[in-house]
Amino acid sequence: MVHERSVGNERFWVKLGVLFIGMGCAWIATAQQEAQQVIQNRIANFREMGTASKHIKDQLKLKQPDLGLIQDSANLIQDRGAYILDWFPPGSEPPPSKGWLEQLLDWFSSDDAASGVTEDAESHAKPEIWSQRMDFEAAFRRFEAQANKMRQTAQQGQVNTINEQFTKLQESCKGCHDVFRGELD
Amino acid sequence: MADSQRLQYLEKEINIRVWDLPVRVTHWLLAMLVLLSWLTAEYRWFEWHRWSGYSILTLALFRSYWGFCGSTTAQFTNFLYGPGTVGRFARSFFSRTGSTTVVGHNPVGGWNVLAMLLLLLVQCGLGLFAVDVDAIESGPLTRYVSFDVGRLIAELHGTVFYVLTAFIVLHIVAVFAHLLIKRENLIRPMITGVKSVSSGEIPVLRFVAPWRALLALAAIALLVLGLAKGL
Repeated sequence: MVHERSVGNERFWVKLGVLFIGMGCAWIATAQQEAQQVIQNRIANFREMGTASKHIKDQLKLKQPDLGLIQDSANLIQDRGAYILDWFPPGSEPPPSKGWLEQLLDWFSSDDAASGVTEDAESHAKPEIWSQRMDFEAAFRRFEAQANKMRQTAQQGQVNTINEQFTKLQESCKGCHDVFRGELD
Repeated sequence: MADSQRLQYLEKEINIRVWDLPVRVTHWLLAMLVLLSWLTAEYRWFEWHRWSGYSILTLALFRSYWGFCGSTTAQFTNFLYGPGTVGRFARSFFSRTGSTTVVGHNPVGGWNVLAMLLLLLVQCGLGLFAVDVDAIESGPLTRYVSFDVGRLIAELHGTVFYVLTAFIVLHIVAVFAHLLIKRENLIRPMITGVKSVSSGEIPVLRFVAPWRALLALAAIALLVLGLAKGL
């Protein structure tokens, strides 16, 4: 009887150990999943801002631009753009990009994420966003100022001034992208 | 005439005109413009990139037209051969005695030419609809596509460039292979238009007047200009 109880005790500790290891793995996987969520969320938001930017650009080329669409687009850029800093918390750095051989081998991988079958978009965020945070925030403030002015200018409805302000807004977008957004190839 | 003298007469090398001016000018301009397009994309000088692209589109469209209506050696029917001929030419390439000198694009090179021409047309076509990441830089016809589609096209535009580069590298390797292995200079004829052939191999070539080429080029340039303005 004493023998059976000690074996039972050992089995208990083994099971507890396995439970903790399992929880640890799940915690790491969840953290990675959360980081991926943050990355996908910011990519989706930037794409919507890009769509809005394209709407404004296309309208300004017409003889009679749709001011309503321009205003809605300017509002979206300013509304979403206000949260840009929140989209890049520590821990949301994208994984290092793969070399060409690894990318080629990924095509034949049975892992859906690796072979690109899943919907996950690849992040272009450069590590400087976190290592040079002050500069990143300064670039963001320049964009924020232009986005606010764009919203106001769009409300006023004068195509000439909208054109001028849109150029300044685009330059502020570019100011950040040129430094903090990488080309993956 | 003595036998040895007759043999010398038969093997005499003469210079014949092979490539007309439109083909030669198009060839070298395209080479320079593809380089320019690549450089301007690397340095993000997009206004130059667009105009380089419009020029390539004009020349590629013109060359396609000339491939149907131009001089003999320019025509597609002249240099696109079936698999049997392609295989025979490829096998004879390394043989010193059995290989023949081809006037115009050879059976293997001819298909490479077509591939490069088609890729150039596809690349320019994609560029017309490509949208950059912040929608700041974009092709002239992007108002007809959404941001997402424009971004996808931009990525394809980048991929097709690599495919095009592979065919260009193949082309350059082949030209130097001719020079070093077959001892046949293909570069000088593409500059001067004249090739040295042995008198037993002279084909009948028809050359179309350059003014026809100029007219076609002008019409195509107008069309591309219209596209550039977003029509």
